[in-house]
Amino acid sequence: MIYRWLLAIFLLLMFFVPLFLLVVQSFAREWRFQMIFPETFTLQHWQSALSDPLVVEALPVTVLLTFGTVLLNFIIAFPAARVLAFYDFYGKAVVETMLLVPVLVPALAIAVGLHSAFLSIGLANSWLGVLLVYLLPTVPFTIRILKNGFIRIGSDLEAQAAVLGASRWQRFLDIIMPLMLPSVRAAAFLAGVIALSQYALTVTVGGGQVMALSAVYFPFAESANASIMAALSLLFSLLPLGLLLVFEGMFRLLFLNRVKAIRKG
Amino acid sequence: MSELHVNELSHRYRGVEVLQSISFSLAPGEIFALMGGSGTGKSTLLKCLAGLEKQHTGTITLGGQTMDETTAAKRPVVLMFQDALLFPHMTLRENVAYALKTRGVKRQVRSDQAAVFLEKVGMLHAAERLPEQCSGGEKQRVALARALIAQPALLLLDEPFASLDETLRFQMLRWAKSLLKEAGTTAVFVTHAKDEAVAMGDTIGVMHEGRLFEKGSPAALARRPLYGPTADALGDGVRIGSTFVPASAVKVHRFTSNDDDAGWKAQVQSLFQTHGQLLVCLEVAGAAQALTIPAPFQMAEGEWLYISADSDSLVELAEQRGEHDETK
Repeated sequence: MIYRWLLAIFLLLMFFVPLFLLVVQSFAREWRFQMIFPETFTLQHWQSALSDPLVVEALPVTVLLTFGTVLLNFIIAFPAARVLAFYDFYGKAVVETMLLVPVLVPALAIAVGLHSAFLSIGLANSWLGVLLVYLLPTVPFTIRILKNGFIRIGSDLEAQAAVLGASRWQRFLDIIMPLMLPSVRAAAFLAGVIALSQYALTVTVGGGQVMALSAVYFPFAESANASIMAALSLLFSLLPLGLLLVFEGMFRLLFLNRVKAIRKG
Repeated sequence: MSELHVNELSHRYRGVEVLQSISFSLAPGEIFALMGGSGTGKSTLLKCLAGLEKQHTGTITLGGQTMDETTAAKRPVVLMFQDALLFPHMTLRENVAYALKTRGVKRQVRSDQAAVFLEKVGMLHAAERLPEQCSGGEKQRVALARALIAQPALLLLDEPFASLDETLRFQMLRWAKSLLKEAGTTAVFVTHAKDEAVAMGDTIGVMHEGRLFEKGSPAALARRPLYGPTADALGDGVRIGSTFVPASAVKVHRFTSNDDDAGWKAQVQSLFQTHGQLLVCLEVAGAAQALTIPAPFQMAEGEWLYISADSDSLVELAEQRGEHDETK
């Protein structure tokens, strides 16, 4: 019992208190040293954070880049994970190791090299270049998660559906997706959050032209006051939450009747 | 109701010939029990017939149409696996209705139809349950309903009841056979157990090392097997080397010094009373054999017996296909 309380207090101190302070800070008109609590509150900092031209430009770019990354991740990782889960082929171990390399090698080292490569094919300093480079730190994880998902559900159920007359597409919608949903959910969230927090890759490959929130955030920290910074930080941490909600909503819409049965059980 | 012709079917996996020129035909509505130990290629044969594996050579014709270029989804063939493989996220009703869903049948129609088939297998009361709430036997019943609703021209059953306990297994077999007969479905039933094959099959075939040996009625194969593998799997009698002695022709008495070399000396290994008869495990010519003898015959373990038979009732067994041309 005592451990439970200690754990609760620990979590409170480590997570909720800083978050709470951040919220207070973002609404405080003035919160100087020796003041226990701010005396007056204002929406002014949120207004200036949200009306800053850099932030206004960065928000839609960030959202689109994140969704694009997640989408591309699935397009690439779904077939790859399936093959890695169900087929044996010559050089499979090599492929699996290669897939881990981007995670092991420092992102910046890859980014600098890629930037010069992208320069020569005209992808540098463009949003498409940034989108592509976001795949580096995300796809290995997505493939890994989906591969384990495929191994968990096995290939027999799909074969059974096939002999019952289900086309490739029907098998995907009726059998694979509903059963893979836990893995898809985890992979979407992880890929989204990783894409959101790429500072080095965005700045290097984007070359200051592609303004994602992660790229705006650091220069902001140097100049803006603490309350505006608090508002911006909160906004930044709300994005993954929003991402989660949107994906969950999409899954529910697409697989509503199929998910229902899972939840009932 | 469709007839099946399989002609010279071969399949290779990693350089090993899993199936070697398999040929057989099934009449419409015939239930063919395919016997053989594990690794003899039975399951591979079923997968080729279902379209889940592509044979390297040979042809499959079903109801007059060649199936060789048809995908698994398009073939009028349903394969039922050893595991029930019910879709875990669908209710039993949705599972049974799935084959209709893939054909674009309207929701209400397929739901009603699923109820009819669930009723047939005695599972209608559980229609809205999920598979995880069912026992192994119940799952297999639902799996059978799900296979039958598709009205397949050919139904393939891959040891579907092997994981059930013995009493339940025979209940299921009897009841599955009556359902298949009612629907007039042509079926291939794979098993490694002789009693299952005999209970289920109109005809029986024996597979061994990727080849199909003989196909015939259970009685004919039991009485007069022509090949070693058939004799081992089904033969009712004693096999001594390459000679098969039908049970009806076997003469047994205690070994005496008067016995000549025309018969065989056998030592009793163990005795077991079954169905009012004595099941004797013997060692004949270095190989273990089982033989049933009318119960009053008195004998003890370790005793020596003498087995003989009229020479014209003996069958010389072949080990390779093709040595007996009359079966072609």
